Amino acid sequence: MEKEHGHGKHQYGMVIDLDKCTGCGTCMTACAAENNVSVRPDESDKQRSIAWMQLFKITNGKEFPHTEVSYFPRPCMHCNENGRGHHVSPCVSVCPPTATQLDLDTGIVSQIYTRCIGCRYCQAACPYKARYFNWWDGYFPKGKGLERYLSPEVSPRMRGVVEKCTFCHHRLMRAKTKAYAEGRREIEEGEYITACAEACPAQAITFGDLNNPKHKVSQLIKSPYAFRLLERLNTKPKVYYLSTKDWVRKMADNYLPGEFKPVTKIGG
Amino acid sequence: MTPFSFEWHWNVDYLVFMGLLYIALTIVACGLIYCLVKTWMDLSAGESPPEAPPEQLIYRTRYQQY
Amino acid sequence: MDSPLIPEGVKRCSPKLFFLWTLPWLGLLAWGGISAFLCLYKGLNQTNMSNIFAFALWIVFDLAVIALGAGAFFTGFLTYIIGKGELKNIINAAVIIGFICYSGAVAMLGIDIGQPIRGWFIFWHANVHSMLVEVSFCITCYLMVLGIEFIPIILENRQLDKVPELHFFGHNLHEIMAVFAATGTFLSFFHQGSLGGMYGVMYARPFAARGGFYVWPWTFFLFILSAIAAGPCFTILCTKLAEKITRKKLVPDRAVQTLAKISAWLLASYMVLKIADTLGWLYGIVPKAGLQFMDFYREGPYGVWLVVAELLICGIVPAIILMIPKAREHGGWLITACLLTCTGIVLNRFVFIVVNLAIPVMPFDRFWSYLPTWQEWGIGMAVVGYGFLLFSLAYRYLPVFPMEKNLNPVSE
Repeated sequence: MEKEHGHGKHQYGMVIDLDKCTGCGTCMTACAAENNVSVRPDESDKQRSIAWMQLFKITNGKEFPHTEVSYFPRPCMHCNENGRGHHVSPCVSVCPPTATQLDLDTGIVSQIYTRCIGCRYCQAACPYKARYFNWWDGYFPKGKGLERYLSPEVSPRMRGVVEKCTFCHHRLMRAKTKAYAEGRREIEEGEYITACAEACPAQAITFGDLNNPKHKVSQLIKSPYAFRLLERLNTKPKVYYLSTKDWVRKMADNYLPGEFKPVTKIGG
Repeated sequence: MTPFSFEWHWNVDYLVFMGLLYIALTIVACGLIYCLVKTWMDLSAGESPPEAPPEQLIYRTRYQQY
Repeated sequence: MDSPLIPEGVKRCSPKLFFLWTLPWLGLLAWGGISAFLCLYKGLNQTNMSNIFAFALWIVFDLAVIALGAGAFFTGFLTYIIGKGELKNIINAAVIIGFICYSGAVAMLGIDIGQPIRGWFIFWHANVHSMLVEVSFCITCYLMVLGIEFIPIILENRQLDKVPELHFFGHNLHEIMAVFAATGTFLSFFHQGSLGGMYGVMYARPFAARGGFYVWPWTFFLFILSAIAAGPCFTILCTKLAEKITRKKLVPDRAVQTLAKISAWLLASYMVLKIADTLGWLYGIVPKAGLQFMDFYREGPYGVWLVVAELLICGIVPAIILMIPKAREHGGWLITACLLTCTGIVLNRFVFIVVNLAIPVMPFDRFWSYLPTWQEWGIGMAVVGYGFLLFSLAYRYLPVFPMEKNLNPVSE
């Protein structure tokens, strides 16, 4: 996998090993807890609930005993391009009040909640459905313990604005502050990792700087089993997946009959 | 949004987009100002009679016997 | 009771009957008022919009109503810039219809965005690369221009015209109307196009994405062309409806026929280009994304019938009808063709908005469907009620149709 992330000093990205993912959902919970994601008293309306990290369940469609199941954790892809070669994410290029920006130095697509007017154009433009709109006011009922996990480093969102996975960039600020206090300018690998990567019990999620050859993620993306979601749309996501199973890789993109090329198994 | 304001960039995209917008707004504003000035001048040029004849005349032309 | 306000030489129904006429429209406005209050007070959860259907009924209404209101700028362009004198008999009506459409659309948008009080951020923190910014700027400016075009008509009210200041101001505005018509044409060209551009630039959504010319996707030009084809048809429909309700001939045939003929050729050109664009998309963008035609139309209510309805029944058929002079001159065929044209344009907007969002892009995602809530219908219907009300008031108290007097001599 060629390294296309030449722009910017750092390009923070993620590699998710689908062979290790058990679908436990800890990443979803850790993300929601870390980022003050509001939950509703009745969360059954999945079309309007907020899940920055969304877990999808996929199956190869075959009958028993050949049935195989896999799980697809899907955070925001923090796309590098909009599909037409411009160095801007699909959501960033369409936002009217410039409430979302692709930071060139870190590769993180951030959102200014106080500027978002809630037009939802970015939601329409995102093919990964990674953006979530606050259809209700935030719900953090007192006296039920929910307020105890609220993080002071992440601003809660008001009704009527769009939010999404931020690669926990408050943790980046935390790591940079710590490094600066220790007299360093650069942060080490492992000092800045996302909540989902930290929480995953199977250690399926690796987070780091794709531009730094010493970081594990930049080595993992070179694997022949590495792929990205909807690669053909040319959005150049920073979230890579690993899977030795061809059927899983095939589910990551649309293929016309006969177009998908299986990867030859390396080694035994 | 305006030159010299926060987030204004002096590049071709801004110049073309905002330039065309301000040209359109200027034309509209100039048109309105022209109308206001001309109206003021028309009023100052004395009480010119309005275009339609006064109402009473219509009845007079139609009912001449009265 | 209100006869001093009624234009000279024309008859109007009694004030009591007029009041009864306004009641259903006031009812619609009340429904809309309650819906708007609920949406502003409780939030957009009052609608059936979701993270899948970020754009829904209101955006469809907005785009449809703006496309249909294109008759205002296009008739203005034909009247004042090209110089088609016969259209002077219908331009007032077109301007009022346009004003209703645009002000209604802007009001609907105020409810649609999640943070209406922050609406001005689109202007102050504008992202010049976003099509929606282009739309907002041009629509706001054009609404101002429409207001300016509406003012002389209002000032021609019998009582207002007696005031010398207002009389001269209205007269002077009318003198330089060509300037406003030209600016309006320029602004409309861009916002009608950008409304199409909004969908063409969704390069990561294969259903909507299109190639194009420089920064403008083909949908930019197609939306302009369809708007100027359907706008005059909508103007004709509203005029015919007004004639039916008032039981009077209001506009000479020549004006209607000019609009219908121009609309016919524009619609025919649009259909040729639209079909070419569809084929280019089908054999270019779609296979490149690893998809096929039926991937978009295989589930739920959004089937192939949409393509047949939009392109054939509401596209090619009315184009043919309008191009045949005998059919164009026949009242029934003319109205049918205009209705089909307007329906086709609304379908086109619907497909780009709702169907576009229903179709999944990720292979393991699913098709979704959507139905609006009563609050959403309320806001949409309020615009209809507002339109009927404003047009009725304008027709009753203003000389909207200059030839009304001549076509309906009032016998004493």
